[in-house]
Amino acid sequence: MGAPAALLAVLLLVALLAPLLAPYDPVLHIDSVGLSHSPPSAAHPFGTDVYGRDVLSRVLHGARVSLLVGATAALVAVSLGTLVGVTAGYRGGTVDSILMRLVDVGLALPRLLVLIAVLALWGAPSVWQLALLVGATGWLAMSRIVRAETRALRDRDYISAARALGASPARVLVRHLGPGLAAPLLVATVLFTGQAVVLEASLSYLGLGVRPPEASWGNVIQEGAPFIGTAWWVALFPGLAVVLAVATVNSAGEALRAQLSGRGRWTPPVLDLASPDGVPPAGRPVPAIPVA
Amino acid sequence: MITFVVRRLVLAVLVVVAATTLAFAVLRLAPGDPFTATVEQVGGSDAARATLRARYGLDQPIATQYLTYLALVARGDLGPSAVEPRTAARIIRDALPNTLLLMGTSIALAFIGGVVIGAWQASGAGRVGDRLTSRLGLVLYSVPEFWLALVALLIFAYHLRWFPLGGVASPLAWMLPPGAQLLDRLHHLALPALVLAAVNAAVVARFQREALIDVLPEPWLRAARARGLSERRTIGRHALRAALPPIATLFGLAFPALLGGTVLVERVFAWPGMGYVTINAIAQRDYFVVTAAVIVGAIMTAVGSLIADLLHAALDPRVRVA
Repeated sequence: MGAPAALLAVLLLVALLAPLLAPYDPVLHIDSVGLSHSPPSAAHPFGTDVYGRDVLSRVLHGARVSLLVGATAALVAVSLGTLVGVTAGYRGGTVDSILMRLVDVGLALPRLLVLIAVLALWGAPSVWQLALLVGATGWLAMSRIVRAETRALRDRDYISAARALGASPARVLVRHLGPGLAAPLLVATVLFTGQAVVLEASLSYLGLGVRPPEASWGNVIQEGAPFIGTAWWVALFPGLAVVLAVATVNSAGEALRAQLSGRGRWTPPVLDLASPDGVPPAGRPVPAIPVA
Repeated sequence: MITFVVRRLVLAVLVVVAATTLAFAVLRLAPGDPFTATVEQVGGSDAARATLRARYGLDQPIATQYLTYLALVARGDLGPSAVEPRTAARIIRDALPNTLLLMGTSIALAFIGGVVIGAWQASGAGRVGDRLTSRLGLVLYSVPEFWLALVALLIFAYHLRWFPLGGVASPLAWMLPPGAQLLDRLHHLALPALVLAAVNAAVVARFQREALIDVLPEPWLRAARARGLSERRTIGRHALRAALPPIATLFGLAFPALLGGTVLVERVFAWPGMGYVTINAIAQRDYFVVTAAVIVGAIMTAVGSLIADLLHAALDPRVRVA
């Protein structure tokens, strides 16, 4: 757990304290003629962009937006996925078949293309709407995982015992199924956050995500991309921030998974985020597939 | 086995029909149409816009439009483009080979590279080499593909000048002899294909490593070693064969994500493929072209997962029996 968790804490702290840490106002055109595309220096460690804005300040402020979108989207995806997954897994039968066929169809559509279509047709939304949209396209894989876990738990003796003792379905779900699902849900939330950060960056890079002048890592990369040959620093540094954040989140997720499964409270992890049954083939643990 | 394939085919057809319907509905429900912007630009009247809408049948009720469109598609016609003279089918035919070339090359590189690297890592699991490359892999699969593409462009195209800046071929390549033309295409293909392959190879390697480590303690592998087989042969022949089916599954699952990644990388390298066509068509609300692109994308995904299932069956005899 150690190192990745500590790094994650530092990242969150940086995002939280961005206004205090940032040397300049992220949207201020400091000197749009004299400072346009000035390379990294002591005054501007990450250089300046085409409008003479300080890239370091934009990356620091971008951390807030990017991580906020990532975490919110992950929470939305996990909540919706849990709702559908528990319903399908616990009820079984027709409800289960219908829900899972719908999920099949949804999973066959490339998530990025769906997001591009919705965003391009309805226009650039607010940060919160963007987070909700990214989350709303991410629950399909989650519902698979939750369904598989629920089905595995449903037939355990302690659940039957609870039912036999007259516990209401609500009580069984919350008191008995809930704790069993907590570990995989926690790990999935962490890993989904990484995916959502990459998705936000991709959409903003296409000009469909967070609207400038508000900075997000993706739209700072977008502003630097046309000048990659001459002013490489504008696109390079926010990209490094994405890699650092996502790699940290992924390592933290992996470490969490290892720790939770090692404790024996949770049988070896079911974390294949895209597998047809949420269960890796032949019960093998597999890494999450990044959604590009 | 046959029932299995038939069931998958039925599901595939359902997915394609559902995707078509969804694309159709989303496009018609979204604000705007293909003509508003252009008509406004030239100062045209509402009447002009109405005439254009009528010409493409957009004045009909949505249900009628949908049925007309399905009838059209059933005859193999994907409709006209609302903004350019080429038909939707023609636009797709011009772009699809470029995307298939890029995706095919990067998938092949990613899977071959990933399996080899994963096998090498698993054979020495816990060693310094394994730990280092596993770390590197974790970082690599956290990298957004489009950003890696930008960095590759910066280093290998702008500074080292090893590769061209983008496109599928040099502007005057048609004047070259065939051999040189082929080299020119490969030269343009190399950088985008390698970028896509690198990120995906990291995923495949991770998958392969874990799958192999899972089978390594199996008694039949100890038996193979006891028979005197070299470690290389034990892993390369016997262990790998048992650890390959999950990779086939990964192939089918990774396909939609790969399609998404290709769209972004195409944009960075000005690669005139499906991603370029789709993004443009959505921005211009070119209804028929977007729907055609969605149909093609859904078919590609369905074919991808079908190939994965067949590969799985080929690699794992238990699937064939079941």
